This record gives sequence, structure tokens and C-alpha cells, in this order.
Amino acid sequence: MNNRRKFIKQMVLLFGASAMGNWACQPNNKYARIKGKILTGNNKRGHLLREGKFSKPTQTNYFDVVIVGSGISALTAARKLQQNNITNFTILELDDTIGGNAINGKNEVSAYPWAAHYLPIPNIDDKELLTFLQEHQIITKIDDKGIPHYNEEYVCAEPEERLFINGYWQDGLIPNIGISSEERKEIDAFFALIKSYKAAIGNDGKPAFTIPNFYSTTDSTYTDLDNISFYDFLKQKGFKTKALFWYLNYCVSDDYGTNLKDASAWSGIHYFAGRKGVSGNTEGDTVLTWPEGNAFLAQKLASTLQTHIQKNKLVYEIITNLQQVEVNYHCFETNTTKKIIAKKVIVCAPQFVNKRVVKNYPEIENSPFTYSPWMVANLTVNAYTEGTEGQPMSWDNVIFGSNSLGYVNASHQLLQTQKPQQVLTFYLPLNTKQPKEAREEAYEKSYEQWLDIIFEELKQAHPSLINHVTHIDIKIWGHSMIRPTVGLRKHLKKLIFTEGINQNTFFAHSDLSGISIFEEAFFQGNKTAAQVIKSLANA
Amino acid sequence: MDNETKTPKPPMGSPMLLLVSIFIVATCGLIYELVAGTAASYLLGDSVTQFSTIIGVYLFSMGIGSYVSKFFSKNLLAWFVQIEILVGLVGGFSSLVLFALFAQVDYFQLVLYVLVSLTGILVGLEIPLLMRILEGRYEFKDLVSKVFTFDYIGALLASIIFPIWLVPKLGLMRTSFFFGMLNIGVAYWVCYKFKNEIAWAKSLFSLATMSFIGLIIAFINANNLVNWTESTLFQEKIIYTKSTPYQRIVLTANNNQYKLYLNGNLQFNSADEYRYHEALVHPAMQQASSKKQVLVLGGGDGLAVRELLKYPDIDSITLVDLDQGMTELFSHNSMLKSLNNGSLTHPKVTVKNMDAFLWLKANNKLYDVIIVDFPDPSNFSVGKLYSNVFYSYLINALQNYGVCVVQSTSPYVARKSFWCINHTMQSVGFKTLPYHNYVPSFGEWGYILALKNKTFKAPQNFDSSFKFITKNVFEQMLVFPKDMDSVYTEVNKLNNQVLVHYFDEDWKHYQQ
Ligand SMILES: Cc1cc2nc3c(=O)[nH]c(=O)nc-3n(C[C@H](O)[C@H](O)[C@H](O)COP(=O)(O)OP(=O)(O)OC[C@H]3O[C@@H](n4cnc5c(N)ncnc54)[C@H](O)[C@@H]3O)c2cc1C
Repeated sequence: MNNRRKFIKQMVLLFGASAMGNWACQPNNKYARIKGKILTGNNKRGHLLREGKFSKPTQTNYFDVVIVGSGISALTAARKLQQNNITNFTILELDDTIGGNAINGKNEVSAYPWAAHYLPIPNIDDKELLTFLQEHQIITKIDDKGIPHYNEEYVCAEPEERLFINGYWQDGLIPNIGISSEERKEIDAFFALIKSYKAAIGNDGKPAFTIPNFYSTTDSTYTDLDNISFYDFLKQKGFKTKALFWYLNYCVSDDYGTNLKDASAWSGIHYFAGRKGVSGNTEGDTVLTWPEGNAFLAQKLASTLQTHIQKNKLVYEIITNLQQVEVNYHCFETNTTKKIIAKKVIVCAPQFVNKRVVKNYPEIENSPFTYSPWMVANLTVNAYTEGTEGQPMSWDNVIFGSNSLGYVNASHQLLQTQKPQQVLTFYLPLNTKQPKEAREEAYEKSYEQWLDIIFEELKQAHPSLINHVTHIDIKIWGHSMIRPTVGLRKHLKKLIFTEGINQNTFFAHSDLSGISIFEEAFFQGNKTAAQVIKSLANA
Repeated sequence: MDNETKTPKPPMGSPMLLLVSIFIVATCGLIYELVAGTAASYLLGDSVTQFSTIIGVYLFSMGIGSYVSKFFSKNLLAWFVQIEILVGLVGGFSSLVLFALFAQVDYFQLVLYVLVSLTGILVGLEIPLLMRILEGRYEFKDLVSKVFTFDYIGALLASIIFPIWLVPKLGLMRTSFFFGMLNIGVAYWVCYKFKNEIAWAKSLFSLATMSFIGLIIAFINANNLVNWTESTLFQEKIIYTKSTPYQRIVLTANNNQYKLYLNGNLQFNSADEYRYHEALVHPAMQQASSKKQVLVLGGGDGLAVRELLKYPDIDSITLVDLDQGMTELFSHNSMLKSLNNGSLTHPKVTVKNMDAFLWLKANNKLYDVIIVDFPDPSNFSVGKLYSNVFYSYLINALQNYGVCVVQSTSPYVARKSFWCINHTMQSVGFKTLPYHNYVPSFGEWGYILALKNKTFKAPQNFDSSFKFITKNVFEQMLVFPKDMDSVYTEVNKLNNQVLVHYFDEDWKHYQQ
């Protein structure tokens, strides 16, 4: 018996050795089996603005309202105009798809997000948002107590989140398995502190933290938190353990693409204390998500707007005077330039674009508006069970200690029970350097260099992932999210942002909320559309 | 007669070696016969019939081989070597071929007897050819006596070591590979001894080498871990395994009982599955006011459909099972077809290989009766098929007065899980009627009958041809003893999957 086993072992070794030999002779192209590329997207289109060489417009059209951009804020504004019987408007989007940061891709396995992928259960007093969700059966009913019930196909399915820590996939993202008692104590203390901020009311009777943050207090006890970094705040409070700092850095990376030292304490606390979701049929702290991410919501917003949307149109100049606004734009399909004369314009592009495009845009020195660069990759993988000690594949899968945010399983919400293949969306905020430098580096990197980074980040939890991936597409977001840096918030109160220019040029973008999330973009769109509706009525 | 036989030949080296090779050839021959007989009894059951028909066919084929031997006149040595190689390959791979083809082909018996005959013919050729090769090198009476003595000793040895040592220690597969190698060893030896007399000794040599390597590789792989672990996991003989993209199907046989395992979980035992399938199907059918359109979700083994086909008033049955590997197996394999009476190929039955959840969501037809027969909710993937979202699609697929039934795991072992399924079905508007019965292979088993806009009517008599269920039995099935009675549970939702957690706890508890 023993001899036979020995013999077999030797044979296996022999075969193994020859197989290794073969492998070693192969050209050193470890990514040969992986298909995919870096998608260039609208980076190049946007850069035309800098060169500023556009020919004279050859054609002029007239509209009551022009909306620049088709991100969430733009689509929300358009929806509101339409609901108020304003129909003579057009939407100009530079990209060939609508949605801005809420766009998606799709392959034979699944749809998948390219950036925004979820909406937390909204706060109960965000009535406009609740109405929109009800319009599209995302909220199925509001019960007798006024509590919304959510469509359970859209609520993040169980298992929701897991964290790979100390060689084990634990349930939930707050470090727990194998951490020291000191770390545990700090984490508890931090959440106790958050609890008090969550309940806190300012001296004007408004909540200290809420979403949309426009409705939060002006009490300086809380607003002053914007003048100090989250990192310094934590240090002042005496926090010091690695587990807590890693976790909080993960959180500000996740929502803001920034790090603890750049993010303001106000934004760091807001991340936890601003969310007060209530739901009649699910947990209040869960999220709504779809394989295609927030593109699902963008499509719902756009469902009645199809005839108004013009894609592949780059607005390069907005000239505003007391009577009217002139919007000049470039059409990529025909390579021509056109002009629109409008009564009102809602500019739903970020401020770094607006300052080049809007003629009367005020000079803001040391512009406080900075934007975080990101790398997002969508990996098509074959199902495999490696590294699943602990909780199985979840919606959000994070690796403790990693710079990346890990990956979201885009296929998670698909109803089918068996998924031999899945698409994983990997998120890497480029926040370890200052945005400009990180952005330039990111544009330089080759596809293979990015693959190196992805596999390196995931190696700990998935050492042989490379053998299971068939396709990886990559997208670099140069300026994607406003960074809620120290001191940003006071700039948001500037008159140009709150009142617009000449009563005809208004601004709406999530960056004017200082925080890049769906609810804020939605709020911006509605608030500004309301101003436009009012001023049209007054005219 | 050609010249060859007339010229006197040099005697061969040591006669001992010669006799050893006769001995080996003889042993191998008998081993292949035993392998075929044993494999056939494993796979088809009824070992008396299998052994006697196989021995008969084998001996008869040996006769054909002996008869045919007279047509070989030239190059006897070369022919002998080739035949040895062929015997080594055919015999050596015979058990692999039998096990591999069992589930794949519709006429397994045909394959079996063709293989047995082929081996028999080849083995039947060996001794006559060998004797003619040796003719003239030894005295005839000596030759006959020695050859047959060793032939019969070999047979005796084979028949003794086969049951005592080979099958228990090496297993059927490795035994046949091993003896295949011995046959090829003989081919080598003859080739080597007579290299000057064999025209194409070199090419025969490499042919033998290739075959030998083939057998060695097969021998090593036969030992591979999957098979090994499975044969320890399943106490019975594994007669079929298949990995589909969705699951691992394992079929085992023991004393005429077949068991089907999906991913290691027992799906049915042919000995008592009627208890389960009668209990699953007939109460729902009795409650139904109309039985024309029936839907079965899961149940790719066709056993529930077999029960359904006992109702002539059914117009059509749609069966939705994810796994094509499974429904194909149960549609075409003759042994499995005899279990489900060929139900899956019945003209009233349409099989759809789709994910039940997606299919149901897209479906817009209404059914009178729906039978839901999914695996137990042991993981998050399957847990979805027991969620309120799933049941709300289910209730929408039912006619206004329709009936459905859901296999709901064991109310004894997994009490909380069972009642969770009940409460989840109620939460979407079903009126439910839980019941249970005893299935020896599973233990206490539970089902939930669910009615849409309709009230439960008292049980009536069931068809007298049923083997298990009667009016009285069904009435008893509705009674839950205290240790299985209703407990509070939450509703199973996609976003809490409480059922999977309950199921986990229930089983952990039970195993302790
Ligand atoms: C990687 C990443 C992940 C994210 N994840 C989430 C998430 O999970 N949940 C969440 O709530 N939020 C997330 N966000 C934040 C997301 O930015 C917001 O939710 C929201 O989509 C922002 O909408 P917006 O309308 O303010 O801006 P944008 O989406 O930036 O829309 C601006 C639009 O204007 C167009 N545009 C710009 N300049 C011009 C021009 N000159 N002419 C014409 N068109 C122009 C752009 O092409 C774009 O379509 C994420 C962001 C990123 C980058």
C-alpha cells in the first residue's frame, strides 16, 4: 500500500515537474487570458475646453430653458420643470450617455456601475426624494404611520457587507474579528459620540446633521467642525488605534474619495450622523442598489425626458446678460458649433468646468473646489470559492488595511440563484497624493500597470484571483467627486451659487452641496429648478 | 500451410518465463470477465442474471476467438503482440468505459455486451495463437499439458484474489487498469525476446509503450481525490458522477437501491421516494378544483411529474429546472427512466432549463397547480427561492382558486425553518396548510400546501393505486406533535435571508 502511494507520488511529481517546465517556457505574459481595456470616456472631450478653439456657431435655436449636463442634478431639474408644465427646454450632455457619475456598462453576465452604485434608505423628511421613489415603485407604499416601504428587489440583498481581516471574512465592515480590546473600546466610544451628533439639534432648532445638508443648523458649535480636519478632530478626542483610523479613512474614501487629513471633521461626522433612514419593511441603515448602480435611478429620472436630451454636445461658452443667455456648444457627431438663446440656463456641470465656460463666473482665488480622481475597474470572474472562510461573497467586500475600497458584486442583486459568472466592481480612490499629481499619474498608467495594482490590492483575500478573471475594463475618473476639504463649506454660501447670475443663469451640481451623493445632486436639481420656475413666472 | 511452421524453431530461453506469461494472460482474461460481471451488477443490480449472462457471452466470444485464430497464418508473433496490446487496452479500460458510459447512453446493455464480446474474442485468440507459436519448439503433448495447466491455475488465482484482495484494496477501476498493464508487459516481453523474428518490432514496441503510459495515467487518475473522498463520503457504490455548471450530481447504488445526491445532499432514495413524492403531489391535486395546467419548479428528476401523470385531466405540465444536465440524465438514462416512468419525455410535459426565479418573474401564464420542489435552504443562493419576493411572484402565477405546495424541509430537525417558510408564504397572502410525513431516508419531512382565494376542503379518498397516501394517512399528516409545532419566526426576505440563518442553527443544534 505504502509503496503504491510512494510510486503514485513520484509519478505525480514527475508530471508536475514537466508541467512546470512547460509553464516556465511560456512567454512571460501573465495577463494573456484577460481581455479588456482602459475606457477613455469623456476625459478627452472635456479637455477641449482648455484649448478653447471653437469655430463660430453656424445656427441659432431658441429655448425657454437650457440645462447643461445630464448628471443626477440635471435630470432632476428637468423632471421638476416638466412637472411644472415647462416643456420648452433642452438638455445638453457632452458624453454619449446620460447620467454623469451614474453611468453603467453591461456585458453578457450582468450590468455594472462605472461609479455611483447605491442610494442609502433616505431620511424620512426628504419628501421630494420619497415622492420620486414612489413614482417609480421603488417605494411600494407609505403606511398609515407615514413610513415608506421599499421594493425588496431593490434593497441590498443579504449578505450585505464583509471585511477580510486577520485571514477571515467577517460579517460587516466595522473591524471586529481579532482586534484588541483597546481597539474595540475606541470603536464603541466613536459610535457613542456619533450617536450624540446624530440626535443633536442646533440653537436654531435645526438638526446638527442631516441630508440634504442645506437643512442642517447654522449653529457654529457644529459648523465650526468644518474648519478642522477629521484627522485632527479624532486626535483631539484622544483616538489613536489603527483599526478605528483605518475604518474611518475607508469611510471618507468611500463617500468622498478623500483621506482623513484632507476631509473636514464636519464631513467625517456627517457621513455617519447625517443618515437617518427609516423604512417600514427593512432596516433603516441599509441601501437601495441595482446591478447597474445609480444608472437605474438616472434612467428613471430620464424616463419622460427622452425628447429633450441631446447627447454629444459640449457647452463651451455661456454668455449671460440682463435680457437673456447665450449658450454655445460643439456637436461631436457633426463637428459643428451651434448657439442657443435661452431665457434661463441651469448649469449642472461641476465648478471646475463652469469657471472656464461661464463668462461672468467670478474669480475665486485658491479655488476651494477640488475633485478626487478615481480608478474603477469591472472584473468578470468565474465563480470560485477561494478565500471564503467566513461570510460568503457579499454585496460589498472590503479588505482591511487596503487602499482600495475592495469590490462590490454588481451581480449581487440579480435574482437568479446560480451565477457561474459575476461582475465585480473594484473601486480605488486615488487619494494618497494630492489630486492633481494623482490624476496626472493615473492618466499615464498602462492597462497592465493597473492590473498589477488591482491584483496586488486583492491578493491578500484572493491570491489566485488572476486565474478566474476573464475580462477587466478600467475607467479613470479625473475630476469626479467634490472633496469636502477643510473650509469648503463657507464658500458654498456665495451669492452666485445661491442666487445665480442676472436672475437667468443658475447653478446646480452636487459640488455645491460640498458632498457628492445622489441625495445632494437631487436636492440641487430641485432647488435650482424651483428658482427658475419662480423667475419665469415673475417675468 | 506456409513455410514458417515447417522449419524447426530454436527453443525459447527459459520455459519458466513462457509459462509465467501464459499464466498472466490467463489471469488477465478471467479478471476482465469478473470486472464486467461486477460492474454490471453494481450498475444494473440483480447480480445472478448479470454474472450468468456475462459469463455465457464471454465464453461464447472466446469460442469465436479460437475459431477465428485459424485465419491468422503469417507473422504470428507480431499478431500475438498486437493482440496482447489490444487486450490490455480493451480489458484495461473496460471498467472505466462501463462506468463512464452508464449514464450517458440509452442502451447501456448493448455497450456492456459489445465490450464483453470484444474482450472475449481477443482473449479467445491468445491461447491458440500462443500454442501455434510454440508449436515445433516443444513437444506437442508437453505443450498442451503445460499451457492448459497454467491457464487454469491463472484462472483459479484470479477468481480468488479478485474478491479478496483486488476489489476491496484496488477497486474495480484500478484493478482493470493494472491487469491491462500486465497484458502489455507480456507484449513487451515477447517483443523483446523475438525482436529478430518480428518484422516491425520497433513500432510494436512504441505502441506498447504508449498504451502502457495511457494505462499508468489512468491508474493514477483513478486514484484522484474527488473519487476517493466521494467513495468515503457516500457509503454506497458510486455509479455515476457529473459536475454540471450548477451542481455535482452523484448517483449511487446498493442492493437495488439508487440514491441521488446533489452537492452531497441526498435528493432521493429509490426505495422510499414514493412516500415523499406522493405526499408532495397528491394533497395539492386533491385540493385543486381544476387540474389542467400544472407547473413544477425544480424536481428535475421527474419523480413528481410521474405522480402528476396519474391524473388524466391534466392538459399540460411545465417543469422548470435550472440544470440541463439533470433533466437530460433523467430523460434518457434507461435505469433512471424506469424510476420516473419516462415522465420527462411524456408528450404532456415541457421541460424548461431556466432559473426558476427569473422564469417565474417573466412568466405571465396562470396555473391551476404549482409544485415547488427545491433543495433545502442551506445557502443564500437557494434561500432566495423561499423569500417573500419569490412567493409573491408565485401567487401571481396561480389561477384565482389555484393551489400550490412547497417542499419545506424537516419540521422536526429544522423546526424554525419549516415554520419560517409557512409564515413567509402567509405574508404574501396565501392561506397555508402545513403537513408532514415520515420518509425513512429523510426522517420527518414537511410540506406546505398553500391556497389562493380558496378554503381548504376536508380530505377525501385518494386513488387506491397509491402506495402510501390514503384519506386517513393525510388526516394524520395534518397533526403536528408538540415537538414540531408552530414557533414564531420572522418573514424570510431577500434582504435578511433569515431562513438560511435558521436552517444553519437548526442543523447545528440537531448535530450536537
Ligand atoms: C467612483 C464614484 C462612486 C460614487 N458612488 C456613489 C454612490 O454609490 N452613491 C452616491 O449617492 N453617489 C456616488 N457618487 C457620487 C455621484 O457623483 C453623485 O451621486 C451624483 O451622481 C452626482 O451628480 P451630479 O449631477 O452632481 O454630477 P455629475 O454626475 O458630475 O454630472 C455632471 C454632468 O455634466 C456633464 N458635463 C460636464 N461639463 C459639461 C459641458 N461643458 N457640456 C455639457 N455637459 C457637461 C458631465 O458629462 C456629466 O454628465 C460616486 C462618484 C464616483 C466618482
